[in-house]
Amino acid sequence: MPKNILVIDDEAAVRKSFVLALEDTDYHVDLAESGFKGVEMIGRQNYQLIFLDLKMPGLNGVETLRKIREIDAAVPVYIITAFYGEYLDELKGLADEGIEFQVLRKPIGSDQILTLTQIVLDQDTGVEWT
Amino acid sequence: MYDLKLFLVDDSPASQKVIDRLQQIMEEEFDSRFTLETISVVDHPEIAQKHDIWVTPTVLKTAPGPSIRIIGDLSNKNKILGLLVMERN
Repeated sequence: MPKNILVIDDEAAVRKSFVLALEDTDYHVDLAESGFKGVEMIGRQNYQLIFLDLKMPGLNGVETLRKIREIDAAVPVYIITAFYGEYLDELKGLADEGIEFQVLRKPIGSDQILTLTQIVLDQDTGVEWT
Repeated sequence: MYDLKLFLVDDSPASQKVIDRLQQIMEEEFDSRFTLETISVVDHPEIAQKHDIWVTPTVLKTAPGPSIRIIGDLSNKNKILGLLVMERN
């Protein structure tokens, strides 16, 4: 049974980059162009991994994450964001609410998408030379 | 002496669990011959940028060389130790 991945991002180019990076794998990739759509899909389908954009119109990444955690407390969620204070400040305080997540730096390359997905879904460990 | 930097998203219970496990692995293998610094990417994105960290959690080993980044499951002692002592071909 294929493992299900959901990508929630309002940018079509970002959604497409995940599809291209994972198209030669056995993973099943679903796409949502908004937080509302993503939450709706999570209510209907079990996902093993979620990539979530932080800056989105409508329901933003933080609000979407809160709703995701109401449905599924355990699924790994990687918030896609630039590593700058003005963006990351929005994530402060979520730990105090008991909301778990990880962060993934934007922009992200195909190799990084594939590597991270395999590592998370296989509960593996990877190494990079710096 | 092993110098490690552990980049985490925050100080959540899950993050503390990762810190505790890595500390335990290092202490069991290297006694006190290591340093482990924890850095919140949310609080200190400039440090993450400086070291080209792109995902959490990540362990950056800066000494002894070569410098490496380890990502993913940080709880498997054998894997972590194997990567820490690995030489580049």
